[in-house]
Amino acid sequence: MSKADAFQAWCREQTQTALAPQFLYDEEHRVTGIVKRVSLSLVPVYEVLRQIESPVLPRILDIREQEGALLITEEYIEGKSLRYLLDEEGAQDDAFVIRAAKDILEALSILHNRIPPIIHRDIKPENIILRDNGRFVLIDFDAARGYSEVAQTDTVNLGTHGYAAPEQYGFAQTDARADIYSFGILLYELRMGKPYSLGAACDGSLEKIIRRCTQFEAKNRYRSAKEADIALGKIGKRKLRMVRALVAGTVGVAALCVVFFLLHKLSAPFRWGTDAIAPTPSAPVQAVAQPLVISSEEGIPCTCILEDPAAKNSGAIYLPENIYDFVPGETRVLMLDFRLPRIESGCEAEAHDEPEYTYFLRDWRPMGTNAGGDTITEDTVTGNTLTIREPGQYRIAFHTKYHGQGYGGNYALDVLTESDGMQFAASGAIIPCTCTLEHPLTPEERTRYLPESMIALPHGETLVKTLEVRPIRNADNCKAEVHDEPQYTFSFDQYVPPAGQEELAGTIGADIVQGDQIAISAPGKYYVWFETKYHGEGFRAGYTFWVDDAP
Amino acid sequence: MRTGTVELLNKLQNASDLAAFFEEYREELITETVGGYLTAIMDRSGIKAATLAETAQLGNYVYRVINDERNASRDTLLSIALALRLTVAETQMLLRIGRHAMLDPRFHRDAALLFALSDGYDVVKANELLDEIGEATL
Repeated sequence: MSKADAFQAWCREQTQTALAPQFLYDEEHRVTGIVKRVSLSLVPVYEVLRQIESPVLPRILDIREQEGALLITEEYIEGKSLRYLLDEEGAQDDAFVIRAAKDILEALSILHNRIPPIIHRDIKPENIILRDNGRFVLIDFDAARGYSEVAQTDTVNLGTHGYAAPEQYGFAQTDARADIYSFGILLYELRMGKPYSLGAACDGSLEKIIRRCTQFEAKNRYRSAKEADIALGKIGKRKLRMVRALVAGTVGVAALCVVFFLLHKLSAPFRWGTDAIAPTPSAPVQAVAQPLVISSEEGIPCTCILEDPAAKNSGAIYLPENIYDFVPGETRVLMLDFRLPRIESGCEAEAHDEPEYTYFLRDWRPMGTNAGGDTITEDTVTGNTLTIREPGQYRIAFHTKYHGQGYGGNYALDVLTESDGMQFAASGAIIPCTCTLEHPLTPEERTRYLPESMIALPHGETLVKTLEVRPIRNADNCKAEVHDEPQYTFSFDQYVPPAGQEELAGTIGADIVQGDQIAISAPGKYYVWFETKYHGEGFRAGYTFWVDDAP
Repeated sequence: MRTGTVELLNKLQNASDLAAFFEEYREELITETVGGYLTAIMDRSGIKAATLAETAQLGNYVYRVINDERNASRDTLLSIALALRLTVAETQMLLRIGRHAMLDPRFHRDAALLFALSDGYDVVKANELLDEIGEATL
């Protein structure tokens, strides 16, 4: 028996005790699939997974029962796990983490949007594979389960200690937000290169997202993968065209599950109005599986003005403190670690999110020479380390910009010996920035910030079964995100069923900002209203919409 | 209190749950060095460094690893593990001490190496297997 045959026989044996999978090969001996043995209770999960084809999930090729267990044949994902990358390379930079996060959220979104939703429940570095094609794939559904609306708590606690959400320990039934929790823990470890501990702070622009994901109370986390993705999009600077695509899809493709529409809006704040928005015809739609996500792409405008340090002759306060306090000739410097937080309070505009805002060392060389320079890259925004190997006198120049406003400076430092290295701490100073939010006064102005399809869909022709509202409320320039601002809320806090119908209790949460669904089971006329605020300013509007009979 | 390497190895041999073992002795494992760990194993099994240098096909590099003068790569440690006929648990611990990713049977190459370790393959045989199944040799 060849060694390869012996190996395959060993794998078959291991598969029986679920210790290792069996590998499948093509004619050219490349691995194409794996066969693994899992619990029979996973039948519903794998039956649903089999329907999914996505670059971020493995394809399920076959499911069969054998001796009281399930044998799953699954696409083999060639690549390296995030665990491997963490162990071998340590912490990853923001760009890598964001790329991974987006793919993981895409996978979670697919799973969570099934009916019933599939909760993975074991999101951890071991279960994410960086494929050779650069995509990240979520694998291993052995802890997964379908979310049941009825069950109060999970009967079986699975998952991995350190990554599992509190509710996985029996506090409540796990839903999509348990995966969001583990996702946050994973992001932290990936960015910092060490396991998450309670209350740990994370460097850089991911801090806020990680904090939100890892809230003890599930209700305080992002409500869905899509919502976390929107928050992440602000960092990744990706334009969110998803909404338009979805709305277009409702008309063009027969792949719609839900559509809704609105007719009336308030003519004055805080009271119901009757001035209807002009209806426009739309094509008939057919019922489908996915809820429709409706958002306005229009952010409430906000103007930000960054304090110009040059005008106040205060540029130096934004330098790393040790450079500022540095006394030439007295400091031994071997290593500089530049990692400057530049968060503008009020605006929430973060240095890392702004392409126009950069901080870099544009020149580095021993004084009096033209040597050096290769150790400094332009991207010091996400942290850069300068290692100085030889004693001598050096000069560093930097430049920082924000929306065209900026300043620069030159600093000299002496490296005396090759003894202890010294790291420069970041400056604690924050560049102040003033933001003013536009206050929409007229009803016409207010409708601009409504989900587009609420305005555009005509009365009487649209079927509504599920309504998922996910308003995007970016303040342009400020990058102030609705989800991050406690003073800024968008909520449906009242829902009035048609006369004679029972109120659909519990279907509308107060916090629609985090994404909410209204499931409407009976045709009829409905009212809904919302309130939005930002730094104390805000407005309300009420709407009427109809739910027709299903075809 | 710190647990000695040999004692730790004995505990590892008797441990039924590898994960629990790693958790319990996390502190000791982190402070352990690759050189110290390998020396303890070689003392226990009576293998000389010169023999290891030859069987692991690493030449004099082995001395540097044993003396903690070099951070050995994952494949180097796997070669040493095969040459020393380490168990799977001992190999996983060696990788962990060396701050490398442990073997994961869900990956084809790692699965083959786990098989090679459990079947007592030496470096030559393990490389033949890796070559046969289209994976990079050590």
